[in-house]
Amino acid sequence: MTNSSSRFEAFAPGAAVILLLAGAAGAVAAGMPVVALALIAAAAVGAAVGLALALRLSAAVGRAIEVARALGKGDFEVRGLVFDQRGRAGELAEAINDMADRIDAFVREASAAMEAVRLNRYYRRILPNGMEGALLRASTTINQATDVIQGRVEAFEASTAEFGATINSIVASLVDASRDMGDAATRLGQGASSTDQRASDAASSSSMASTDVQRVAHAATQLTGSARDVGREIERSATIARDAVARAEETKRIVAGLSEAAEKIGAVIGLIEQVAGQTNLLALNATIEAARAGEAGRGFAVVAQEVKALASQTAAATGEITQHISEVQTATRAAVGSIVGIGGTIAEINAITADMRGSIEAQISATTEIAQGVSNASEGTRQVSDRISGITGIARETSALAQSLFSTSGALSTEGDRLSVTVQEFLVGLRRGPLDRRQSSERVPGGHAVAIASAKGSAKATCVDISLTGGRFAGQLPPLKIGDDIRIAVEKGVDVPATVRWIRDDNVGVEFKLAEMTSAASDRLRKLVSKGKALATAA
Amino acid sequence: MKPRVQPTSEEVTFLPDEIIVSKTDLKGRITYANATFSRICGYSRAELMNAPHSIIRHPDMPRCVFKLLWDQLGEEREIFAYVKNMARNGAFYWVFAHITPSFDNDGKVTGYHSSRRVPDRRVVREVIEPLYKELLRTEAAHASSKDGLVASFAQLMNIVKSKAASYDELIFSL
Ligand SMILES: Cc1cc2nc3c(=O)[nH]c(=O)nc-3n(C[C@H](O)[C@H](O)[C@H](O)COP(=O)(O)O)c2cc1C
Repeated sequence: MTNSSSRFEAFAPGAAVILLLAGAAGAVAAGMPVVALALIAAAAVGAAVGLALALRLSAAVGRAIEVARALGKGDFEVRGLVFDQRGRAGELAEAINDMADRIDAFVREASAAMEAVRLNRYYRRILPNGMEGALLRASTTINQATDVIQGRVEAFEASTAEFGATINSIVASLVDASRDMGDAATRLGQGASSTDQRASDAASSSSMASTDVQRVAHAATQLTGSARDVGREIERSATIARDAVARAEETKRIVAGLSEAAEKIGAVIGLIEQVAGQTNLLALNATIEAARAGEAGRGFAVVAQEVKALASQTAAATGEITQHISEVQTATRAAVGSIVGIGGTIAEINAITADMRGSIEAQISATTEIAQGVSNASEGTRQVSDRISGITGIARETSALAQSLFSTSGALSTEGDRLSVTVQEFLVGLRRGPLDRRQSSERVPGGHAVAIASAKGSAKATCVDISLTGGRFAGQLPPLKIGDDIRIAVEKGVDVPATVRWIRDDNVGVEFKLAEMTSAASDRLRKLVSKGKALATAA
Repeated sequence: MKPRVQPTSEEVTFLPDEIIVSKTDLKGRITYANATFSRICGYSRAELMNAPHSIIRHPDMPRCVFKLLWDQLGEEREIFAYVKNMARNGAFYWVFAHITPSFDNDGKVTGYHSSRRVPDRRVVREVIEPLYKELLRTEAAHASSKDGLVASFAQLMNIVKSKAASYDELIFSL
C-alpha cells in the first residue's frame, strides 16, 4: 500500500462527506430538495464508512500499543495476530510485527552468540542476513568482539598448550633423567657391592698372600740360618781337613823316619849276623881245636859248643828281626802310600769345601736377598691389605650413597609425575575458566540410585545432590577413605570416575574426574544435572 | 494433511534481507507466522495458526534432522539447520533455520521461535543435498521406521564426529 493511497484512505471518507454535505447545502439553496437528500444520504454513508475505518484503525493502534509495550518490557512473544487487514490498519500491524520479529531475531542471535562465548565456543557468529541499520552494526560489533576474543583465546590456548607441552617435556625429561639416575644408582650400587665383594675377596687373598709371604720370609730366614750353619760346618770340616792334611804330612815324615830307622836296624842286624857267623866259625874252630886237644880241650869244647849255640841262636834271632823289619818296612811303605793317598783325598776335599764355601756364601747372600725381598713383599701386601680395606669402606659408602640416590631419583620421578598432573589440572582449569567452573559446580538435587564401586567393594547408594563437577551420595557405602578412587555407575556400562573428597556418617562427597570421563558418561551427567535443575525450578 | 500436496520441482526463493519467522508452542504448533512466511509457503496466516509445523514438511527431509532438532531444543539449546520446505502448491524452498526456545520471566520454556534466512546455495548443493539424500536412503532401507531413524541418526552423528567437534560447529564451518 503506497503512501498516497493510504493518505487517500484516511482522507477520502471525510473529504467525501464534506463535499457531499456542501453539495447538499448547494442543492437546498438551488431549490433541489431531492438532490440535497440524496447527497445527505451519501454523506451519511461516507460518514459511516469513515467511522468504520476509524474504529479499525483504532483497534490496530491498540494492538500496536500492546506489542510495543510488551517489546518495551522485553517480551518478544507478543504479536498482532489479526492478519491480512487491508489499508493502514494492516500496514501498521505488519510493520509492528516486522519490527518485533527483527528485534526478536537480533536479541536471540546476540544472546545465543554471547552464550556460546560464555561456553567457550567461538565458532558461533551472528548471521547478518535480515539485519539492517543499527541492528546490523550491533551484530557486526558483537561478531568483531567475538573474533577478538577468539583470537585471544586461541593465542591463550596456543600458549597454554605450548606451556603444557613444555612442562610435559620438562617433566618427561625429568622423569627420564630420574629414571636414568635411578638406573645409574642401581648400577653404581651393584658396582659398589661387587667392588666391595671383590675388595673383600682381594683383602682375604692378600691377607692369605701376606701370610704366605711371611711364611716364605720365615722359611727364607731359616734357610739363611741353615745355610750359615752349613757354611760353619763346612768351615769346620775344612779346618779339620787342613788339620788332617797336616797330620798326614807329619805321619808321613814320622813313617819315613821309621823306615830309615828300620833300614838302619837292618844294617845293624847285618853286622850282628856277620858277628854271629864269625862267632860260629870261631866256635867251630874252637871245637876242632878242643877236639884235637882231647880231654884238655874238653871243657873248651863245651864252651865252644855253647858259643856256637849262641851264635846260631843270634843268627836265628837276627833272621827273625830282619824278617820283622822288612815286614815293618813293607807296612811303613804301605802306610806312607796310604798317607800320601789320604793327603791327596783330603786336599781334594779341601779344594771341594773351598768351592763349596764359595757357593754357600753365594747361597747365603741369595737367601738373604730373598729374605729381604720377601720382607719387602710382606710390607707391600700389608699395605695392599690396608688399601683394600680402605676400598671396602669406600665401596660401602658408595653403596649407601647409591641407595639414597636411588630413593631420591624415585622421589624425583614421583614429583615429576605430580607436577605433570598438577600442571594438567591447572591447564584444564585455566581453559575451562572460572565462570564455567562456578556454573558447573552449581548443585542440583539428585534422587536417582547409583552403584558405587571402589577397590574394596561396591554398594548401592542414592544421589543426594549433583553438579557437573561432583556430587553427594548416601547409602550403605563400601569402606571408603578420603582420596579413594571410585566409579559411580548410573546405569549398566555408564560409570563416572571420581575421587572421594569427604565422608560424613553414611554420606560421601565426591569430585568427578572430568578428564577421564567417557563421552557417554559426561552426556549422562549433563542430563542428570539438567533434570535436577528442572526439578529445582519446579519446586 | 500431508499426502494431499504432491511435491513438484518448482523452487520458490526469497530475498537475503528477508526473514521467515514463526513461533510455536511446546508441541510445534504454529502460534505466529510473519507475512514473509505466509507469502513464501502460500498458506494464509489463518491456515497456519495452530497448524503443526510439519505442514510445510518436505518428503526429501530425513527424519533424523528433526530428531536432532527436537533433542537440542529439549536440552534448551538453539539449533541451526538447513531445511527443505514445501509450499502449499508442492513447490520447494530451502531455508537456513535458526530455532531457539522462548523463555518466560522465570526461565521456563514457553515455546519455540524460528527465523529462517536464505541459505548459501553452494552449501545446499554441495553438502546438504547429498547428505540428506544419503540419510533418507538409510531411513528407507529399514523395514521399521524406528530402526531407520536410529540408523540414520547414528550415521549423521558419525559424519558430524568425523568432521568437527559438534553438529553446531560443523554447521557453522560450512
Ligand atoms: C520453531 C520450530 C520451527 C520448525 N520449522 C520447521 C520447518 O520449517 N520445516 C519443517 O519441516 N519442520 C519444522 N519444524 C519441525 C516440525 O515441528 C516437525 O518436527 C517436522 O516437520 C517433522 O514432522 P514429522 O515428525 O511429522 O515428520 C519446526 C519445529 C519448531 C519447534
